[in-house]
Amino acid sequence: MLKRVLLSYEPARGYFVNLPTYQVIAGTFLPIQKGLMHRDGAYPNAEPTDVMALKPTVIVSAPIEDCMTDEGQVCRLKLSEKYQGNTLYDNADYQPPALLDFHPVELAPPKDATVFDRIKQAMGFGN
Amino acid sequence: MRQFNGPTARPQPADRNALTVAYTYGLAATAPHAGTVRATYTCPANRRALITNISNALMRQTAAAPVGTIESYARITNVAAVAARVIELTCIDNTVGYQQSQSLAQSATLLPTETVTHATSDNSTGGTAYYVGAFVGTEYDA
Repeated sequence: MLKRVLLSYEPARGYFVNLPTYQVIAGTFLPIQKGLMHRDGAYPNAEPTDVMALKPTVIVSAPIEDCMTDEGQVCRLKLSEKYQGNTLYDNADYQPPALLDFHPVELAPPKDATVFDRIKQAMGFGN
Repeated sequence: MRQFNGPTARPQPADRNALTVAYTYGLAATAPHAGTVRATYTCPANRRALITNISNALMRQTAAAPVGTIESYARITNVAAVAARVIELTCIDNTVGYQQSQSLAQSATLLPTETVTHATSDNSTGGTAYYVGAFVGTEYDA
């Protein structure tokens, strides 16, 4: 399932999505802001607090179809059951990220994409 | 009377509701970035996952000024939340086309709640790099 989700940050883990299994789709980080965020992540010298203030999101592919609520969001209880015993996800404090919709054009290669990018996209790397 | 308590018949892992689990990511012309998790897999409860392959590769695409450390790693975190980097690619070479890659086959069996994670970072100023990583495993009933 492809969804846009909020990014999380912890000093020990860096920037991540708070889901147990996922892969990030290349070039889909938003919002792009000079000095803070580009299409593949946050700049290395950007303060995480400034970056997180942007409420950054990214499109991920995550196999969470069996852990959904009727409203189309991640069901914390179903996820806790599936990953029973996991200190991160079988935890009352765990708050799954909101799943957001996105426009298919967001998956298209950017205007400045190289031939290399387009071959990669056609081959499905990162998708 | 003689009692025999021999081993019970148990299907092979591949016959226990096996499921191939895999992810891959590829990042081309990627600008410098802080440490970012690109993909992760967590073994569900009551399942195990035999890791068939983990691989990472990185390549400098355009020169940085000044160059910083490019990193791409794969990490396994066990049930005790102890993490170990099983693949660590680190590069401070500014030569366009410089590349590193590493692959691990049959490296571990993940127990429930254990994870494999791929992450990248680049502390350079300017310049771009290419990263690719993959994980393949067979998940089955514990």
